[in-house]
Amino acid sequence: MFFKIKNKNIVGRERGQTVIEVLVAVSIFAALSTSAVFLILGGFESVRYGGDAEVATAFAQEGIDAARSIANQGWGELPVGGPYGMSSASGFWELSGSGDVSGNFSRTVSVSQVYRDGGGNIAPAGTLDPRTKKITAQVTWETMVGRPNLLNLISYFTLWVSRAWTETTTVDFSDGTFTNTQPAAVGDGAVTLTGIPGSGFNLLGSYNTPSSSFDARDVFAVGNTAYLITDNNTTGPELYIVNVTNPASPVLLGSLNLNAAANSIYVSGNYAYIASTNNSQELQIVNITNPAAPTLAGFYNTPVSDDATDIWVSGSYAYLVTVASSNRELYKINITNPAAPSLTGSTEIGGTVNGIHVSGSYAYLATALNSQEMITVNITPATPTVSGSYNSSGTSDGRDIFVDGTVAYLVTQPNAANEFYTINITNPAAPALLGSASWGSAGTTYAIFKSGNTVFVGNSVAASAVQYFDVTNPAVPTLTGAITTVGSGVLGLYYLNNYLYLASANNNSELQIYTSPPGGYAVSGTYTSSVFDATTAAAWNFVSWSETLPVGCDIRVQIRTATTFGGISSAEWAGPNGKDGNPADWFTNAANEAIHPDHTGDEFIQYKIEFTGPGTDTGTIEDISFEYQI
Amino acid sequence: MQKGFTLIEFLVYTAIVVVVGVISVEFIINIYGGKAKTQSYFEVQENARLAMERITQEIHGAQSINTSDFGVNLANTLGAKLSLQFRDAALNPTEFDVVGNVLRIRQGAAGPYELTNNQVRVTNLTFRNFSSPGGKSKNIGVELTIEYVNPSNLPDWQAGISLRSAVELKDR
Repeated sequence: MFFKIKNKNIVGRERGQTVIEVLVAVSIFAALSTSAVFLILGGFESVRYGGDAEVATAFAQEGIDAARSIANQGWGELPVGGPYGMSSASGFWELSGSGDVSGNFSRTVSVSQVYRDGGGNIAPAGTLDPRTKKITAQVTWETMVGRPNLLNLISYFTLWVSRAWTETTTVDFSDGTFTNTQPAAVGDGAVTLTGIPGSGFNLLGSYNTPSSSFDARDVFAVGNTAYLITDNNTTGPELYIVNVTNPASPVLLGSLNLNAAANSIYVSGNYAYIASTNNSQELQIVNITNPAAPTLAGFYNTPVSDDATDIWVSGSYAYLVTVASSNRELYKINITNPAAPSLTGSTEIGGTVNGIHVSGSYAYLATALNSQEMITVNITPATPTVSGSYNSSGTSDGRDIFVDGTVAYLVTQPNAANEFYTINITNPAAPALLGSASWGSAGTTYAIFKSGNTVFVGNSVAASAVQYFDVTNPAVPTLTGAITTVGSGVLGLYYLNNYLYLASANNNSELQIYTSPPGGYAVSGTYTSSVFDATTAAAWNFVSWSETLPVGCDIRVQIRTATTFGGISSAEWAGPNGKDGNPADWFTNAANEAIHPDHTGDEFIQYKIEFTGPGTDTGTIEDISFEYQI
Repeated sequence: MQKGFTLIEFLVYTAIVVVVGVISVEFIINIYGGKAKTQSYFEVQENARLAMERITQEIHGAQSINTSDFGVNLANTLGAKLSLQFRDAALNPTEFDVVGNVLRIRQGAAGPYELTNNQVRVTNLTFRNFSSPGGKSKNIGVELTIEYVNPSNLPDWQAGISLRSAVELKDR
């Protein structure tokens, strides 16, 4: 261009145009060069920014991995919150302050909660996942004054290296200390408040026979039905079949006129077998298939007109006993055909037999014989044969007998000594006394029944018509109490499914149903575990347990930890707020609760469960688990 | 008159040529300097990025730390190294060192391989052991400085980057 201009100058023409050309050329050159300079400077600016971003990324990565280090030291050491600073001043990473600065770079680390949706994916809302945390490391800097830059690195930490100390079985719990608490057979083992057995018996309900003036004499219960028999009712029935599904209000299903006083009843299958005072029908067999309309299916008439006193049915035979007769008081009657029972054999006992209980190959009789109040009879032969006997003190008549296993329970008429005898019948030929007791009352003894470890005795004294004994140790029968509210004597009794059925002489409530009030529980108690050794310094993360809490019950948990086994006993019990010296701090959330990082570094742990309840019920803890990292 | 004008014109032209020439040379020098700065920065950044990524990756994957030289500048200390242990025996030991201002990695029998090129110098590589006392966390702090090779100390070729990070061992 310059040469061109010069050439034109040499020609000496168009000088004004030449200046303009120069100006244009300079302008173009200036524009181009300015663009180039900006391009190069801009490129360099990009490079500088890239370098800063690289430094910021490394710095942010340090924040993330410092947080990871802290979480690995203890999940609880990295609590949700922030912004946090990260310090390595102690030689390892710790939270410190609210941020860090390195050169032109400022960094904060924040920890936030993580929620999961129904599919287990991380979601903005849903179920809180305490074992996942979201970590955000934010670095800010200025590449040049007034040009701020920001970098966020986000990472999710999941607590997957957790171990757990879990106690769940009876054996697990057995090494702890129970204070007003007890091991319970729930699932594979559990702990509850100590149970307190109910005491006494309360009247639940009663049934009043339509004919008011006839005493009930015996009762037998099967399922939800009670069979009651009474004195001779000249104008109506003596057998009443009562629905006791609701014991508070028994309902008559049906009744049958037996035409005589009945002394005893035994129900087996579709038939009720009745020991009667009817002199031509000492054994009456009633078809009870339709409880609304019982019918007399058949009867057996003993050769002599003696009242039958008691009956027992075993297999194909009914064993009937009677008052003293000329030559027989025990009848073995084949009842294969209830319409026509037939005598198989009969045995002379030598006096009035008041009660019979058949167990295995022997019948056990309570008799009026003065030196053989109890007689054992081998019933295997067609004609039963007397095997052995027991002579109670004095001459009081044996009145009734109940056999359970190898022990016979005999009651006699009241006397100056004892009325209640426990007799070892391991060898039926030679019954041996185990123990005896007295209830010291007058009147007449009528009946005995045993259930569990309790023996009930019915007698004629209205103020204490049922006496009951604890026979947990048969050698030491213990009078526990008496039912005082019957209002008359009790002639028969039967215990089934927590209900005690009484056949009473009370003309307004011949059938009475009693129950023992439900057992209760201690109102408070604690279970203190054994000490668990994590084998090395541990970080304790979570406690969770499975509990059942009826209304009014509560369960809460405390822990204590120490670096040594010996240190546990003097360590402070703590809740979710850690070692804050507050004894009122308890874990209450069974599902999951975080353990305070105060406990980090302690190798040994012990827990305590506190139960509280209304006294009528108890909470149950089936298992408890402590998660930790080592 | 005509000749005087011509001389003045010549002088003006000369001045313009000189000015434009000077500007042009300055401009070219600028361009060259910019290119040098950009190139040197790029070089150190790319080297540092690669080195840091490799160090981070190896430490993340390691199971434990062998006896290593913590708190010393590997670039200044002959024989100093970071040694890592892996579950994969073929990788044991994995060692980082700096020889002649070049970062190297050796994995088992393989290597050493150079991780930085001859355009740059590793002037600081310091590892710090931030593992927790109980051993629940194993963590290594990393400080890395890389500079552009610039023996004549030309301002345009002066480039360097210092990175600082920390890496947790994840295999546990």
